[in-house]
Amino acid sequence: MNAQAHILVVDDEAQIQRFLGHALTASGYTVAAATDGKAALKLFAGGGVDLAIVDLGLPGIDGLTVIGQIRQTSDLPIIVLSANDAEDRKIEALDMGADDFVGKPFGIGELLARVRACLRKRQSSVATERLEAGGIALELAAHKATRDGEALRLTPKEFELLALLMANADRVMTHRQILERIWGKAHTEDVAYLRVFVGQLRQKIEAIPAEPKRIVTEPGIGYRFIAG
Amino acid sequence: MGMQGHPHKERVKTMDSRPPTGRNPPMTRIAALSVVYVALAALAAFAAGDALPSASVPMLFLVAVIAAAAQLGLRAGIGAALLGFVVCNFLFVEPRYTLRVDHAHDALALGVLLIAGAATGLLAGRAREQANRAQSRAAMLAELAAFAEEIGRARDAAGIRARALAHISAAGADPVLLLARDGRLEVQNGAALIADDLAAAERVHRRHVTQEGAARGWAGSRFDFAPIHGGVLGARADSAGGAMLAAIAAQADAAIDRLALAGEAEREKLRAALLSSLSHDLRTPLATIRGAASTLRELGEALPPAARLDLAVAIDEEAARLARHVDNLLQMTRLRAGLDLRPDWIDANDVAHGAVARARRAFPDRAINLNADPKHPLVKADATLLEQALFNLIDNAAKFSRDAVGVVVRADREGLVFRIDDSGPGIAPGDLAHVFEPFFRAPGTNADGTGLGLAIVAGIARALGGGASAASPGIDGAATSVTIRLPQVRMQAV
Repeated sequence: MNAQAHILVVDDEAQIQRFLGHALTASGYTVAAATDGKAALKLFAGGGVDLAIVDLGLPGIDGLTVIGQIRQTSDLPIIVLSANDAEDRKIEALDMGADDFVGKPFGIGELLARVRACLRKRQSSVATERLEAGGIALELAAHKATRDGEALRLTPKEFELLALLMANADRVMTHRQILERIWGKAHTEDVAYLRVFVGQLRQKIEAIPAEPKRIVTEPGIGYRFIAG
Repeated sequence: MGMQGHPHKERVKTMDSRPPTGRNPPMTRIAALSVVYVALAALAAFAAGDALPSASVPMLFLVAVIAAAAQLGLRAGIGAALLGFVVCNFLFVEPRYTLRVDHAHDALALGVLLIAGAATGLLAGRAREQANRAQSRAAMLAELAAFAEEIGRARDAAGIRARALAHISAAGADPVLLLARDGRLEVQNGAALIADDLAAAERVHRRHVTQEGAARGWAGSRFDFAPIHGGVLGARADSAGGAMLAAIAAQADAAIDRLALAGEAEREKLRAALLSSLSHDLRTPLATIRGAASTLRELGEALPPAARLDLAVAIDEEAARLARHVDNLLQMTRLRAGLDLRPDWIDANDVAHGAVARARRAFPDRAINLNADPKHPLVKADATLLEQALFNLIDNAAKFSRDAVGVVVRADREGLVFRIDDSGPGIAPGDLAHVFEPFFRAPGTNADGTGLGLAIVAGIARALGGGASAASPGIDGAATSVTIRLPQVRMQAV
């Protein structure tokens, strides 16, 4: 099914378009290229796009605006390309509804993994009773958690946090997104609070809590649950 | 005070010969009015004759004394009391036409006149003083408000200091401005200071506290001094300007701080633009190289041969571009070193020639014509930064036009102008305002660039106290003219 996915690549650098075109095509996707925001929105409006890869530093209409425009009418998976040090813009893009980001320069494997995760999420975004990934299973209605068949003792908030991260497995969740979903809009700045809960959760689910493999930190941005 | 030597006596004398500040009425007026009131009282007593009991005569003089005191204050009250007593005693008290006081009640009458005159005079004087004070406070506040408004518009520290001097002067005090040069305070506004004044100013500068001058008639500084950025501000002690001094100095200091912060922010922005340009230049080819190489490695089997070749070509091209940027980086290091602004008087033609020579090496097959100013003007600027700005402009012009690029250096009274003319496609009117913004690239242009060259030019021009502007169509028939204007220029005697 993924093999037919149509990907819109929005980047003003011809050289980036060049290798992304080859790589995505060789991976079985079809590619549409736009070098500015206007062309991107036009291609998106034409329909048939399954995922967009958007560079934030576009001339004219910038990447953030493109994301905002797309989000007004669609939940199309969007992956942001951005310089590694531009944390603020990345967070802005993610909070605006982008699904994930890849920092430039990146290896093609990293981008293809994000593309797969985003497309997978789209296929399975139906209401679910049970979440399972990386040996951890959550029974949402019964509030039961197990790791490799053994029961995990989680507080209600820890359970909610883990469920949120697992429901978005392999995708980054910003601090703000997590805090807002679990503790409410009034707590979107309480990042220190979140760190405490993530620390507790890691103690219970990670093999080596000091070297987390399941809940990884995206420095300055948020957390990502690794399913694989 | 005993240690103060002879020379100060002279100064004390000059101080006493200062004109009165106008608060107290002049002695001549006091004397004249006292005489008039006392004479009126005497005439009234004569006119009343025997109708008035002799014991009541002093009452008439009491009225005269009170009138003089109320109108002209303490000194007039006492003067009128003494005069009134003498006249009264001479004309109306037995034995008449002598000044002998035979009776105790006559001595009492004199006492009453003196006390009434003094008391009324004191009260009247205090009321007048309060009115004067209220008036001068209002004037001072108005002056301070005007000062605050003016320095809000000032563009540099010198402008702020000039306004401070003007306002102290307007408040009726002689202002002084001293600035520290090589650890010594130097008078800036031509005020003549003596050793005591200078010593006080030095103390104020060293300790950074406001200090009042010596009271009138005492040796010591004739000025109040307050510390101000880089020096000391002074106003003649014992004047309205002196009272305002501390407030003016504090406001001027705050304004100069604010300007310094704005300048720092400007330099910080320039630094950020440079860094951003640098990382963009390096990151884009790196992203392509890494992306193309990892695609070859991970998807090699799935790629058609033409795609594999294309990726290899992309890697080669981008590696070459990266190498060019590393060369530029070395230039940038020079530029960054220059970001500690070191403005100096430099030969404008020299800098322009340096930039032109560099551009001719970068574009060997292009005509780049330098039209220098025959007057060889000197400009206050940082040579490294200015050359980089000019090079960026020539580089920009050369990328957008196929024909000759003209570089013009001209000085006039308002400053120095560097102008770069090209005959390229020009700039659309709507884009003119944006060409100096970071990452702006005119739509439809495909030249290799980061969109930061002109932003850096504008940043450098501002950091040097000037500005950059673009005109299209340009000057003298050029398609586009981009201009750097710097304010401080000096003609060189050739």
